[in-house]
Amino acid sequence: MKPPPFAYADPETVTEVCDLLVDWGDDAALLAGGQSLVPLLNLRLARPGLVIDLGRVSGLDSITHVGGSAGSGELGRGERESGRGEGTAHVVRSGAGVGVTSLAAAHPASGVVEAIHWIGHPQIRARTTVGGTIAHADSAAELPAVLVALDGSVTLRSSTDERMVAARDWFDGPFSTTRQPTELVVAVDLPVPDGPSWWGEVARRRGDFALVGMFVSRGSDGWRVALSGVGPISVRASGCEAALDGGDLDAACVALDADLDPPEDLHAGSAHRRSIARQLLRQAVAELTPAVAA
Amino acid sequence: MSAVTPATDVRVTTFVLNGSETTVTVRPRTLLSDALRHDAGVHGTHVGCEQGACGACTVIVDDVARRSCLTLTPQVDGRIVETIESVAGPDGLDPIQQAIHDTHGMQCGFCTPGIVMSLVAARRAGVGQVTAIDEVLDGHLCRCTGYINLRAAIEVAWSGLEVSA
Repeated sequence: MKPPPFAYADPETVTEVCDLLVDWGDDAALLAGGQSLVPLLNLRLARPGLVIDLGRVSGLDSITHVGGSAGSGELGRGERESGRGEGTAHVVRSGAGVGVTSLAAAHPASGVVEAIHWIGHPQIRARTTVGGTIAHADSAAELPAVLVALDGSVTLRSSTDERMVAARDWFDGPFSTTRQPTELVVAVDLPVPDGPSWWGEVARRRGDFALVGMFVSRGSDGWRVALSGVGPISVRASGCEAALDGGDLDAACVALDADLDPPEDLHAGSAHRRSIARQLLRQAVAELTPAVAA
Repeated sequence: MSAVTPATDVRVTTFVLNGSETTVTVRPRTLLSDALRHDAGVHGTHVGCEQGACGACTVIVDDVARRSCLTLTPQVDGRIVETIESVAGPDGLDPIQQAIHDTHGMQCGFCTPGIVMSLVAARRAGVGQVTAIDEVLDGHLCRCTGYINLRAAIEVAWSGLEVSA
């Protein structure tokens, strides 16, 4: 179908966007890459009064390597440029308008890179932005699960304020976040795990929505496991992580089952998704602990 | 405060279409696929699912293949748009088109313009044959060929190309 009527603006600064959000509030829809919003418009599942095109907004397209821990305070503190893979960068900060393929080229963690490679088809992925996919909050999407797994954070700006929200406080429900209607996502921080990481996914076709996607990393602070496609929001499998930290893979599979409440839909039943999740976990652990696998 | 175009007003959008500066005057909600067909008068871009899944409407904007059905017309203001009409030259078909012809990589032809545009963008970006077959073609639905002859077409079109991966 065709989109319903809406007003349109394509401002060039974050300040202008925030001013428009003050006037229009939740009647405004923010257009980043458009690969989720425009289908929703075409299906008339979204009927905004105003579409704010972020494509011409300057200052949202930088990628920086930031030292220090994420969420530690104001933007810019402890920030320094460093080369990829030098070991000094703890967080990769993407402007909201950064394309996911650019993030894949800049993030040192192989699990992050592989997750991005599973986003849509190339023609879709080329348009997908970091801020867009994090703000859209589709629980079947890849980067939201990565954000949750790595305890990343989201930086928001309004006409009066700037704040940083931790991943655990970001996703609020299906396609819902704690972003206020007057706020714009301006940056997304994805920490770099200090050990190996992995992404695995099962979809009907590559590029289709995940039946189950899984991010796993093993660092000095233990295992991290998060999944997409298995609930209303991206799921951090904390029980599973604890069992992995205890070195018991079978117990981790049982715990994973308890961590999940996968949906039943046309594409897969709940039990099928649980089964896929267990298989992915075993595969991830085998690949991230070669000594055990051998 | 930036200008807001009301929903019922038209907006002038100027872009380079297949090498010529083109202006369309359409409401903000107009999809690029519709502006191309109804306003710019190029009908080769096909409209299939209108939700980004089928790939029939794929065009090239600033050297990148994207869905024209997931693009609002004002988004291409000032940009360079290429459609299937630009692909064949005065000397005949592009090698990609010729390969699809030679290997019978099409039947009804509905999906073909989008596939050609994706492949043209992939070739320009130096995408390798395996990626072109496995990933670029993955972004297109073709219900006639079973993809067998399309894969053959890519193998023919890619033979002799210098590519990165």
